[in-house]
Amino acid sequence: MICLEFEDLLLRWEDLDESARQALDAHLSVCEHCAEFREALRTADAELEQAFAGIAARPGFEAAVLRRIRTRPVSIVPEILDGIAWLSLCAGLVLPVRWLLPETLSPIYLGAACAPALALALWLGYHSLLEFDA
Amino acid sequence: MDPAAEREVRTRLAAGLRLEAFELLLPAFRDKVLRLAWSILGDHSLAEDAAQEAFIRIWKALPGFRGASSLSTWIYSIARNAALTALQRKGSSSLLSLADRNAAIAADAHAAGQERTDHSPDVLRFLLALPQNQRQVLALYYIEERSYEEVARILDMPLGTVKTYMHRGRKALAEAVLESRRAELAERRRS
Repeated sequence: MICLEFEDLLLRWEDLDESARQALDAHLSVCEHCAEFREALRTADAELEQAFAGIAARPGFEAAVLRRIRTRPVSIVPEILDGIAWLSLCAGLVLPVRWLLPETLSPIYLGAACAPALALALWLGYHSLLEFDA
Repeated sequence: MDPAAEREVRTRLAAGLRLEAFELLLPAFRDKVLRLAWSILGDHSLAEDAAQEAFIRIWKALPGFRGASSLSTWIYSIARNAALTALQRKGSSSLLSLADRNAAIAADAHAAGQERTDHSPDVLRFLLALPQNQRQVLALYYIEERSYEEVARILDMPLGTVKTYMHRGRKALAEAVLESRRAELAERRRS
């Protein structure tokens, strides 16, 4: 079992001043558990660093990203306005349908009549006519 | 990314050379972004998809980069968000209880002494058993060559919180390494 008062010192070795490091070294020379923990800590650090270095992108990653960028459809508005443009498109398709219908029509029929226009707007938005990232 | 390369990216952006700037940062951050995504998703294929998505977002947002933060902080923030979105889509964001996590770490440590069923290094499997915030702090710490301050900026966390997560994560990993060694020793004695 590691000594609790030295566990914290071992974990923040890099922040310790020289006198604290000397006190810790003195303890490690007589405490087998703490010395074992320090060794395990060093192993974990080294293995984690090595393991992360081993995670690398497959060949073709960069080409795939660049291909996706180059094949992106050109937006007719600056990208920052994509969201606004997309909402405007929805409104532009739905509102004319609404205006063509009689005022007295039940809201249920109104909704049903506007649904195809709304669905078209959603489909266009989804298929990146105007790409929008939330 | 070294300061000279970051300056070059900024210069190209200022000159309106967006693609040229992107082509400079893509190879510099490719593996780092992938490693961060992997630490969040725990799967190479999903991490590559998330990393690609992150670079698409970076490309789109590049003209708006004003340099208020460092380029790496900005890129890692986007990459982290892209990976977290992928995690939500994956539907595996369910949080394990502390007891479950400790059991998972112990089980992984024990399994390390048994027959291996996958080819991930033990330490990475131990890492994946940690809570998400500790994983991200540890990953960024090692990817960014040990800078607590940079990790705190990327995760938008106080420096003290980053250090706390870091200590808890390293302690859990060291304990898993010890447990794994003991299990290996016991196995050798049995055989």
